[in-house]
Amino acid sequence: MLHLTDFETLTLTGIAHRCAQETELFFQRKGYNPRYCFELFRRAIMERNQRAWELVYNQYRSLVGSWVKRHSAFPSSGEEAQYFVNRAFEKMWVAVTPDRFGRFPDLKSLLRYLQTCVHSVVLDQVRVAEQAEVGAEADIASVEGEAGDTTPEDQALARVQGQELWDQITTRLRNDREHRVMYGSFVLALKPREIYAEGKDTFRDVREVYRVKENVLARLRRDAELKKLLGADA
Amino acid sequence: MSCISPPQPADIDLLAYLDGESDDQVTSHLERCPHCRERARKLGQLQDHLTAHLYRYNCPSTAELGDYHLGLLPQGQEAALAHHLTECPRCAYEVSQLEAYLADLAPALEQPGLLERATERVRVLVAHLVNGGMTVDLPGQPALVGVRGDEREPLIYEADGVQVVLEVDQDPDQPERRSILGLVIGVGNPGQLAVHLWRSDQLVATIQVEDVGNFVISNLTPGRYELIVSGPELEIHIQELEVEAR
Repeated sequence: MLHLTDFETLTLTGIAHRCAQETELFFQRKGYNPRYCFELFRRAIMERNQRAWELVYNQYRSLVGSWVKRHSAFPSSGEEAQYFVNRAFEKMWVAVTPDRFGRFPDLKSLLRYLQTCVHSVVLDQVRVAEQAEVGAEADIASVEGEAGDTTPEDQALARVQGQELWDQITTRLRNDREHRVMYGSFVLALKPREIYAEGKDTFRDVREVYRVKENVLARLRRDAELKKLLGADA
Repeated sequence: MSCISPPQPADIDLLAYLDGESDDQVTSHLERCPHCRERARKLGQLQDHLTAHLYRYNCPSTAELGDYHLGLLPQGQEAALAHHLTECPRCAYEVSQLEAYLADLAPALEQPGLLERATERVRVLVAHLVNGGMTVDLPGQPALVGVRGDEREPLIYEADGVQVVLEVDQDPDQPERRSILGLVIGVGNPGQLAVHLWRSDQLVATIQVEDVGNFVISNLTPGRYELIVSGPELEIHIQELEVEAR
């Protein structure tokens, strides 16, 4: 016989307790009811209830930790799993606002999004490390700062600065081939061999890619305005 | 300073050298010629500066890639990102990485054959205080374990025919602490029940109910608690239980 629970009458503690019990049933491969855990997420997100979000965190942090450890980039990240667990929950808290909650019809969709957040925060670390390496090779401070402390503001600034520089460069390019070589070389950090592999219909061989790059760089080096923008001793 | 052995290598050769793809002749020249080595260094520096400022400047955030993969982006943004993926092998790779990662974790969210049978297996009831803390006779019922004298005022909670009788008393081992003595009445097999005591969103105790329905939770500090009696088919929530200091 079905007995429908009125969630409104249950406290946050009661919902969290039931969620824990039902989750235990899930892991025991028994029939379980996901509604309580979904309700916990709902109260946290729709009501922006920090207490409820902490209960969500307490409920799922071990599971999320196991997801972190299964990510292929985790072993080389240099960080503890708990670091990424905390970042993943932070990311979901910021991203899933009350107006977006309707896009998540059930508990499974919410947990899948949390998995996506894990991937995102691990990848953020990879990107920051790559950017730091690029900055180190240029012997300048990375525009995104040291690995691990990139803020959304840093990212936005880097994007704007990059766009400004790219806009200046593109005004000095003469054709699509030059565009492809410059974009591939410096936005994607590809080698000419890789650019040729992606554009065999455009370039005869790898040497031609080098030739295009040589011509453009020579032009840019003669450009006083661009040199000033770069601050490079070219 | 000038080249020690003209003609000097062209910039195209220096670029290949910087990528580790020059021929032996160029490599040998650069090992011997400080002037051309300095040319290569400056060329490399220019490239490094360009890369440092431009690297992936217009790539979407990892969060946006995730939203794209799950179909959560607004239409216009989705189209723009889809176009970006056709031009950016790095982002395309990250999306494929996400796809593989989620596929690897998918079994963790699945319970084949059971989701569609998710029902309210457990009756969840909120109990109400029925005696207001006054002394009440319970004819025909087992005596409350640990009750000593009629100055005790057990609390009786009731939900759908099930009663939970509670008495809060001084902890026998630690005078400044409290104990809860309880009795569950009206359930077929009380030994299948467990009592969970919560305070400030923390689970502070879990106690198994005895076969005759009684239980004891000791070593409690005064404060407000929520007590939940859990069984395989029944759960009773006592939402506000005040454990007072003497």
